[in-house]
Amino acid sequence: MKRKLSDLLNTWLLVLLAGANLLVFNAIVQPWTGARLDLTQYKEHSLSAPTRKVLKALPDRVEIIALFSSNTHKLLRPLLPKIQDTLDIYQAESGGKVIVHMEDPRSDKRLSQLYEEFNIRPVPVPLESKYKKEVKSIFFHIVVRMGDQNIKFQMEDLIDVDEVNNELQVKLKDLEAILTRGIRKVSTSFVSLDSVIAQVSSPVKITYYKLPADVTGLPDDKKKEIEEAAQKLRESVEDLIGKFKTKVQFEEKDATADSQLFMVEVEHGSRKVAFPLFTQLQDVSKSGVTEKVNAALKRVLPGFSRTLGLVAPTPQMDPMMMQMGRRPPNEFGLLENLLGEEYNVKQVDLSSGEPPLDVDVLLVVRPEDLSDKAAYAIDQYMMLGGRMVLLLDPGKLDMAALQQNKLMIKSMRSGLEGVLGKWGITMEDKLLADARHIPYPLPREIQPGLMVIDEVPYPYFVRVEKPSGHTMVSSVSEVAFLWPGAFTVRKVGEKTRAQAVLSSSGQSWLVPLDPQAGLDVTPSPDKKDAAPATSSYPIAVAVDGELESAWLGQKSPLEAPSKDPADPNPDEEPATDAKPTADATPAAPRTSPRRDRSPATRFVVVADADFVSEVGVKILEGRFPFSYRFLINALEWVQSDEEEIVTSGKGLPRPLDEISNTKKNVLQYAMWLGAWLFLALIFLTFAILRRRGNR
Amino acid sequence: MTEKDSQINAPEETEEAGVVAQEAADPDATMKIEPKPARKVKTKKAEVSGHHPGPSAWRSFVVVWKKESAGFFYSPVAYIILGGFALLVAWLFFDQFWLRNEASVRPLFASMPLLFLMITPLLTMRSWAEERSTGTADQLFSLPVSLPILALGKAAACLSVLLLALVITLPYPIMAESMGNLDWGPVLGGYIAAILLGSAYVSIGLFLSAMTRTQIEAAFLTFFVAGLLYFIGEPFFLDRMENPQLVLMLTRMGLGSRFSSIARGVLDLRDLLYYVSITAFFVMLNVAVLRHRKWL
Repeated sequence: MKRKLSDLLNTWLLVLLAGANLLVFNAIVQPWTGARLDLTQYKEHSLSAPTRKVLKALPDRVEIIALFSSNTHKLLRPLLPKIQDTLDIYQAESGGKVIVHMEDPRSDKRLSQLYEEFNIRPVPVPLESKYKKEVKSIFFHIVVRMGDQNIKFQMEDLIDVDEVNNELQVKLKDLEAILTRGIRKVSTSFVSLDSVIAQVSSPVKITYYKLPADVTGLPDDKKKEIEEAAQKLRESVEDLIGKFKTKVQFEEKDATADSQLFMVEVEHGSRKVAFPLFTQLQDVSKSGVTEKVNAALKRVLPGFSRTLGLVAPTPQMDPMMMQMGRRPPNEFGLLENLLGEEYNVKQVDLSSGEPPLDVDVLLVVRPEDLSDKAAYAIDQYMMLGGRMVLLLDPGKLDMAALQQNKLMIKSMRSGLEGVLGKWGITMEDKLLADARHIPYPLPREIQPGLMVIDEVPYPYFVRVEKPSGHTMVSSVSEVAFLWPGAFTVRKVGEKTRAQAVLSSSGQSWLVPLDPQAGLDVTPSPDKKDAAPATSSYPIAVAVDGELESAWLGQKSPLEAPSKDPADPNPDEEPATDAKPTADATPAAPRTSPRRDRSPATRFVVVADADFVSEVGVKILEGRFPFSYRFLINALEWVQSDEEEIVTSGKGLPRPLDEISNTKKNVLQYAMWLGAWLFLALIFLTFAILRRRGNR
Repeated sequence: MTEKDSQINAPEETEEAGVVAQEAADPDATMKIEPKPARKVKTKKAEVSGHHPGPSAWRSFVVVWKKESAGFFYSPVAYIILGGFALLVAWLFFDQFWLRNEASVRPLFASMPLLFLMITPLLTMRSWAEERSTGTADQLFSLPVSLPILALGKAAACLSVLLLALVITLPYPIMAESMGNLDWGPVLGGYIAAILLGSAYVSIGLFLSAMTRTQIEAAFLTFFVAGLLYFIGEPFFLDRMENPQLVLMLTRMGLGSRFSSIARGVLDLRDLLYYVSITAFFVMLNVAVLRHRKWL
């Protein structure tokens, strides 16, 4: 009995000890935030590669001060652990560069400190408890701080509020996107060229392609001016070498082709951009050259805020509206605002023919009748290693017809036909229609003053579902295009690869656009659009590789009198096949530098711009959130040099296919029936087993 | 198990093969352990070399699991529970699925902890309480099967029924995939979370079944204790808490908040360890209670 009692005591002691061990073990592993596996398709609960890159490039420590009242609104309370989780991941993955403080400011001293330091005050929110209802001031703020720079996010920046079935629902926005943007903003204001070059592991190479000594045909005074300009470049680079020693390398090479002459190439890692040393010899100054060198360095080195050059149609002045004192509507104003969250957006004017060398990426939206000079600026921007996304429209809405309740699409030329043709891309002068489309919301008056919206089949709103194959659409499940066109793609060389990223379904067809009359695309419930042919057409094309200038072997628009922009036809140019070789060094070289061949570069061209216009966003009504995400991914892809880019589909809904109520009921009953049949099968199996056992 | 424990169990385990062989001769015996000749040789080798007779323990576990599982399926219990589960899960799932219009099975896993909380007490209540009320407990303890094996066998049987309940739900993600672009990561996470939560509920239920005299008491207590562990981390429970440290601690202790964390598609070592700890702790408590009853 005594032994039994001691055994029993031992058993309970063992259980207690094991329990205490488990408790301690769980407490020990609590700080292990990194021991986790994110199973979601787009790694929705992990920091993305771009965020990790930003954290890695941080020049100094960043503080994230999360100010949240613990006695907060009941809809906000469930968000607090999620916020804490995300902040913990930032701290864990930053390698000590991000310090997180989560606090509930209560004392008067702290409140006044926060107000003075960050201009933060608590927000009044109605709180309801078992015993009372009151309005209380709460904190729901995040401050990102580096040195004396800070950026604050308030409640409206952090949450989305929806009403579902008369009930308020609060959702946390993409916290990673918010925090990373904040970190990038505060850190880039600290980033200087000096600090970045000091940190780079591989040297930056600057190469100047000078005039070979044996070249004849240039007057001596011209040669002297060129030499003076080169000397200013040498002085500017020597200043850099003096500061950074071996981290900056400078080389002068004899140009082996006309297109290399007087070019300055700046290279770091796989990234290479170039700029001409001068456009007008008289204008060369040391400060001007230094500015150009610095701009090129910022484009090839990591850690700087990115600048997007936007070429968008200027809002049309309507005399009637001007008289009423209204500003003309900016069709792409919303796009500009959204892009502003990711980039420093800079409006670019190409009319002078100068390529925009201070932008990281160029976005050209619905170009219309661009001049030769503007087309040449785009051509040269690409020849100098620029990256670009082009949104082209085959036609545009006729506003005059719209006032008569008619939807007409007028034919439109971009002015880039020649340039794109040289790069293997041609846009059909036709509108794309597809059997796979989204309906047109057509209002109908059922009683005087009472309207209903009919959803009318409309083949010109093309829906591309589950696109696959290309990395830039890996996080995009469907995109809708409004009145898009289609491309024809031809191969232009071994070193250039063009790939259709988004294509229409196999049941699409092209409808010609009459250059004068346009095309009537008015939706009607009775109208049945015939499908004369069924095929799939590319809507978005990604081009990767080396490109040739559309002006190869010709005088540029800056040198020659302007051609008729409506009829550029470089395909017929006799010298398009001429390739620059070492022997091709001219006897009398041109002194206005330009490039005929680009380094490895990328661009994307899309046969629609309406999908990101204000009208498009209204029509799509948030049903196709991937459309804008596709554009962001395209911008990311063109700027990357790698095959894979990390694209994000975080927080985006995955809508169900449209299905009738009858089918819904059938599915529901099928599930029930399936479950019951499964149980019947188990019952039968066990009944048989039992009978066999009894035998 | 400690060294002491293995010494206590040692005589039972070494005798096991012989007694089992005797039992096999009785056609009406509830447990039929028929050692295969080849394995018998292995057991002998193990005995000669003085090692723990692993295969026998495993076979005993399989026999207990089979016997307990058969108990569920030879009676209407499992069919009633699983039928009710199928009905409820379809109702709760479709109610939200069409409303959200999203290719996601989140509504399925959102209701899973509560559905498991309802069915697990019904599965575990009879395990030990019935043995005690019918007087078969002493007979069971006299069998040459160690108590941990008995406890684990019964737990595995209850868990098998829960797994069948999960199998019933498999067509839901397949249907969602056919209607949209389903992310399978959270689905996998959801099933892993459901299995872990089910294991924790079952271990709690078995422990409480061993503690109580009647099945009703066992079911009620399981519902209460498992429910408490589930709800302490839920927002509505934490609403009135003022202390943020306490809120954080309770969130981390709650079976429900851990479930949501895995079901959203993140396998966190801390969550897995927490569920394993809870399950292991209650299984150990269960064995301790059985040993207590056996000896007193």
